[in-house]
Amino acid sequence: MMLTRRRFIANLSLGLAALPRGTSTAAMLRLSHGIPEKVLPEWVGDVSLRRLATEAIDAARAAGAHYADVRLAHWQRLDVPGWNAELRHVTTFGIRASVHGAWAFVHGVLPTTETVARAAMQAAARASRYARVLRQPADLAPAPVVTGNWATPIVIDPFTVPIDEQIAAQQAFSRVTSSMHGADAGWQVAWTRELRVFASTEGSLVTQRVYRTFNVSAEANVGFGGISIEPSRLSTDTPGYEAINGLGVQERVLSAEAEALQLTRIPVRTLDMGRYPAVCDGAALGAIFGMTLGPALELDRVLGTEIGASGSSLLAPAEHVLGAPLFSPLLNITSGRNDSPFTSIGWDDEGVVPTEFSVIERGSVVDYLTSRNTAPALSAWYSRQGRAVQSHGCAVAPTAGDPVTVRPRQLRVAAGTERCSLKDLCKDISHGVLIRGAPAVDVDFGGVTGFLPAPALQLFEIRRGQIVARIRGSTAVRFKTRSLLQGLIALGDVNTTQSHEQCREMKGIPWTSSSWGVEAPAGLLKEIDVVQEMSS
Amino acid sequence: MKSDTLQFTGMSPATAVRGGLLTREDALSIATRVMQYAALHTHWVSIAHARRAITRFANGRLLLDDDGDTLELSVLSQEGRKGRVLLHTNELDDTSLQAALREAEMLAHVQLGSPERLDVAPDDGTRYSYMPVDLWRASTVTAMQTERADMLQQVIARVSDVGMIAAGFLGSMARVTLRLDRSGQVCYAEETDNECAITARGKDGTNVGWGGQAERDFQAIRPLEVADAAIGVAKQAVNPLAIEPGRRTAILSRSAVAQLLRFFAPAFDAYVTDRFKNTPFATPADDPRLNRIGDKMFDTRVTVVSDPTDPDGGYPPFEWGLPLQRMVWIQDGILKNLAYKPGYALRRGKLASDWPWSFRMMGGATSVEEMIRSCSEGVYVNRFSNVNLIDEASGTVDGVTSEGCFLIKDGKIQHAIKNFRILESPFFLFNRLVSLGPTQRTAFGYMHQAYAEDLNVKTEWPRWPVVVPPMMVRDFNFASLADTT
Repeated sequence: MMLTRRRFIANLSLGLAALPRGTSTAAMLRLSHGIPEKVLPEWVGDVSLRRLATEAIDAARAAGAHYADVRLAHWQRLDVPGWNAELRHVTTFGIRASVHGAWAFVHGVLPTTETVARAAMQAAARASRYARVLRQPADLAPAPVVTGNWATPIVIDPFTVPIDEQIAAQQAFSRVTSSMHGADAGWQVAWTRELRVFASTEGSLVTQRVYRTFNVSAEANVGFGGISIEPSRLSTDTPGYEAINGLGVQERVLSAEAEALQLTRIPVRTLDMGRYPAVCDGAALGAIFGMTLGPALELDRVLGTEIGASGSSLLAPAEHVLGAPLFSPLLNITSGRNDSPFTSIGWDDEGVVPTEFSVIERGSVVDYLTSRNTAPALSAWYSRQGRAVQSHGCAVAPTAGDPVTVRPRQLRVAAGTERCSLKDLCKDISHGVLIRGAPAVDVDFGGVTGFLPAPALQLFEIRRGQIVARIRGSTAVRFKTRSLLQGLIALGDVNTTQSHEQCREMKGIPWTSSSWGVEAPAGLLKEIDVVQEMSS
Repeated sequence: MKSDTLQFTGMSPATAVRGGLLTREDALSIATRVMQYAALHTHWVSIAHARRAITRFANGRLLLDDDGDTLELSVLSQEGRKGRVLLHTNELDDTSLQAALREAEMLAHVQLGSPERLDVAPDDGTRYSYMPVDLWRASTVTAMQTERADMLQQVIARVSDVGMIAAGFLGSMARVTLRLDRSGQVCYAEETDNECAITARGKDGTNVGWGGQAERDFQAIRPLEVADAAIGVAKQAVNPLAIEPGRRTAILSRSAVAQLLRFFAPAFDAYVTDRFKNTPFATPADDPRLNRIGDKMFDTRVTVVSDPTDPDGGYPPFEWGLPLQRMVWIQDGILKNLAYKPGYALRRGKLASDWPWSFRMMGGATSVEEMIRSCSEGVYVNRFSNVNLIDEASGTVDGVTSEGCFLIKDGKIQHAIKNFRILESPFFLFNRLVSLGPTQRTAFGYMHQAYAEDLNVKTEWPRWPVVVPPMMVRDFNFASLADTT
């Protein structure tokens, strides 16, 4: 079913008409100011946050910090499901100070001249006390001093759009999608907007206004125990409200529903346990590679600083891994691509401009995801490569009040250079499986093994190059990461590339979450283990 | 510019001796002020103020000393039966608060009709009384303001003295929570907690041991003893062998049991059980009963209780503004109760109860040493990591053994073995018990938090306490090898 602009607008009108009777013109007028800046306290402006950041840095320096940096942020989130809404305004700050390599971090709420200065002095004093007792390495990779402003490129700030208009748009969408036979489509939208300031004792001072669409999904779930397809974003182009004004979201959800309906017509069977060659579409390959290699490439994990917390890395120790042919020579991965409006930033949380760089070339790890205080550990490797020691801009503090750790932001698996479709990858398989869509990927604390549990797994049987059955029941997939990556036999071309935006990792004590995206083509894997989940 | 004058309005001098945390009076004063600003449709205001002090170390060095506070004011607005609007903010100055409240009221006005909410208590002005609990320890607050450099040095030295490398953390937390309903009902809780978890690792990284302790009173925390426990396991864990996966007798330490049971709580949801038949307590399609309350489902030795006043496993005695009572979930293997959220409890004539995030599983008299002596062949598991719920209907989890896994033969630990990936349901295990040991509160350490646990204060660090025994079970499903340390 095609959605025409006329039909969409007609439904939008119905949605507006369906607003509660109490929504008077006066209320609409008030709301037309949007959610917004008016709620921002006077002191949470760009200028005042920058001033507070500078005062914090001055205080840390005066208290004896050899290095200190501060993050201050005002963060807002709006969930608009229409029948239960949530609104968040959070102002936090975090200051870390180093003395002779000993780090202390103090965080808090309600940044004022007094509170940030006190926190800065406290951080410096604590670091100093630890430094007297414990000997610590003190390297910090050099980075240029940066100043300036950056904002996510959007056209319409969702926080300025009247909430009634947002609810009406959602109602219109529901009206369209609910007409599909057997389909169950939903739409959840959450917008976030953050004003974050970073400053350091080296003189950096930057402000960023970052917009994200968080936890957005539009799901088509067709039939009993059917296929669920989630177009991952309202728009592939923007996290701004203009995504909703366009027709893209409805069309993509309807298209997903049609695809799901088609897949439910494939006969359902069980599959014997065993090892099978596997074709993964771009989303599946992205999810598997993203969840295994993303954390494994974080240099702080590789260096052992997450032992006792989120874990180690199968790509450790660095001196044995760097340059060694570990995986299929077809595997080329870059990180840090910073041109997606959904993940791009001006500077990381240490004030470093992210750059795109190779992490895996022809199956060998050639670099890791680094921050300023981890990169020096690779100085010998960089020296042999004739490269300067520098951070790649992977330092992330999920909120301004969280400690900084190394996290992936965007990984890109290079597509094959030969023309090759998903169908081409399947055609020579006499008996194997196809994994489509992004499965849940459970990895162990070192990323050495992985498991794709049955409930979220879309698994199909391939015989003589054709998809002949949908596998149901408690069939799951497990793998050893290194063998899996060594067994990458072929990659689809660029037309098979899909983006998977839902990789997520918990890290640290207390654990904090961050997510990243992976772009990957379809691929053919030599074998995976198909297993039955337990029965009693 | 207001930045120089902005403060917690209503904070009293008493906060200074509480590590800067709001007192009950401070929190009530703020909540009352919010209620005064709020319009007709504000149903309740809650305040959560927490402070943490965590010292992390790795590679035998300080990683980070982390200290600070978090604050969240939540306000629920709802017009009639329209959808709810939940406002969360930490900006407590008058201007910000009033603007945010106006905004929430406007949002509430344009919400659409609301589907039934199960997690909302009836707003009928009923006054409740709450069980008195004692979860606050002054020693913990004092410890949070005391430097830990010397203690850290001792822990690191203890591990390095035996040629190993230390990693882990020592963390303390204090939290106050207050909720004010529009009827004037006030719920207040204050709690402190501490957790110490240490990993000792051989220099080549192949042998690892873990130890942990969790206590509300900092004075009861013994970091050096925790380090010794980790060292003890690590010393035995050298040169691990790979053995065939499969179903084997398993002896699970308390920490392993705690990790295995971390998705225990949602399984008790009455609505999901009755309506969606998607928990282990659901009846089959041909059974006219709503659920299996009253059925003997497990070994008679299985008894599980939640009690806000439990001296080891206590917790704040309210949720949704309603009092939480002692709940017996399983007694002598019989399912006695499920957790009814307020809306569903009203419909079914039951007492409202939260899921058993905190619980005590009754134990037995068999020590771990006795379990090992009685085992002809089996596996001792010190801990599980990366446990995820993969099937709600059976409670099946997957995960990995970690930081201490040993082959037992002829009543002795014979050798360290490589880790396994596991696939098992604790609810199936409750029918394969061989023996239970003495019950004790157990540390969790790091947990790979799952989606289902996001934003749930009971599963954030430090997780609500669980009190469990070590257990010996037969036919534990060690599904495959996970060659990871």
